[in-house]
Amino acid sequence: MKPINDNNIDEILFQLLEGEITGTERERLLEAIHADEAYSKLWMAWQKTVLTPDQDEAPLNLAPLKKKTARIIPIHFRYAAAAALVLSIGTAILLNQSGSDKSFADTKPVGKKPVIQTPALQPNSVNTPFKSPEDTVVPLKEKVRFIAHKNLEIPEQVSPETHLPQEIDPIVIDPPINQKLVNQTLPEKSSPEIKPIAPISETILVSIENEPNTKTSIQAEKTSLFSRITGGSRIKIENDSTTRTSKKIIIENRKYQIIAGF
Amino acid sequence: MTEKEYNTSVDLHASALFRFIKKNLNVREDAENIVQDTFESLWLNLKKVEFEKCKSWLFTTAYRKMIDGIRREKKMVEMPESYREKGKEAAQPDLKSILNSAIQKLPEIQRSVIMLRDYEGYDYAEIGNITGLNESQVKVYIFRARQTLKNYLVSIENII
Repeated sequence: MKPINDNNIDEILFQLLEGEITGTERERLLEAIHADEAYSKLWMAWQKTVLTPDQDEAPLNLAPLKKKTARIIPIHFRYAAAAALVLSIGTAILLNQSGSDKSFADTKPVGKKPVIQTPALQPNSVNTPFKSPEDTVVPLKEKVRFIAHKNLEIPEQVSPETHLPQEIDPIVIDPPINQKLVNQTLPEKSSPEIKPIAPISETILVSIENEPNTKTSIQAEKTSLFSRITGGSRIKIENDSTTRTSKKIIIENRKYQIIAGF
Repeated sequence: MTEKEYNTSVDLHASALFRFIKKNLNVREDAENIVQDTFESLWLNLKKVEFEKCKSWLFTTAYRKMIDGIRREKKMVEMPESYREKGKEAAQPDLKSILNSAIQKLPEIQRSVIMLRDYEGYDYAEIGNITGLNESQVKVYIFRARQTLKNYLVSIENII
């Protein structure tokens, strides 16, 4: 044990304060220090040199120092590769679809679509495709129709087909061609089965469709009608031993040919 | 160190680091800037610093930044004259304010080591690592710092 004197008192007190002297030696030194009033005051002064944090200091704002961390989800490499592959394929499919849609959308007209009004039906008209005096696409048998006025009525028990003037020959019109409507006087003898309730109108509307420089005949009408429907196609029936009926039907136009055997 | 550990280190050590620097510089804004710079350095060296040793790393870095700043600006903190006069004229001066004024009179290195010792509880070796001194030097500086503070306190008591 070191003897305490004025020369080493500061060193001993410093070691006591720093905890370098422990155990029984510490207790004995402290007893000796407390025994002397001057050393005791000195020891108290040394003890006051221990600093303590200021509690009244405004705390530091920690928020600016922190970093926002992103949550990391571990994923297996194979799963990641498979997911990337699926996404790539899906993206490619979507891109292809969107490309076709785009081309389709490009064909759409820009602006407001024009409204086409259909011609109004004649009041009291017979229920036929002959909707308007300007219509020309009608079946051959219904080519000629009486436009019923209020003074013409068809019996209910008889089909309208029976009221057609069967005796009327096919109307042959010389030029001018492409005449659509011709007013003709209906001969009384040609429609004996019609029972008019009221006086028969003296005029009927006849729709005629002709090919240029050709006669209007049944065959011509058939060809013309078929052409209108099929866009200029022709129909032929030829022999074919390979079919059950030994016949085959050929429908053709400039581009396509359809052969049907039965 | 992970990003999460970094944020944890902010929670654990930022206040102490700020207190340490603030006590040395006695200027709050400068202390805040040094703490900010120190944690930015930690973020940049996240992979190099272990979480268990980050406190020492933080104080070392902050101390060096502080010393660099002081040397660059020659901004040695001096206690205002009015504050000194106020301490003398106070009838019952607070021990903490007297001690604070005494701390400001310490040389920079003594102030740093005694604050690391008392505020943060570092041992001599850790303080040596932070300040770049060996343990003997640290012990000597701490002894001189306490002796200076003791003498100041005794002299104040004698005046009062």
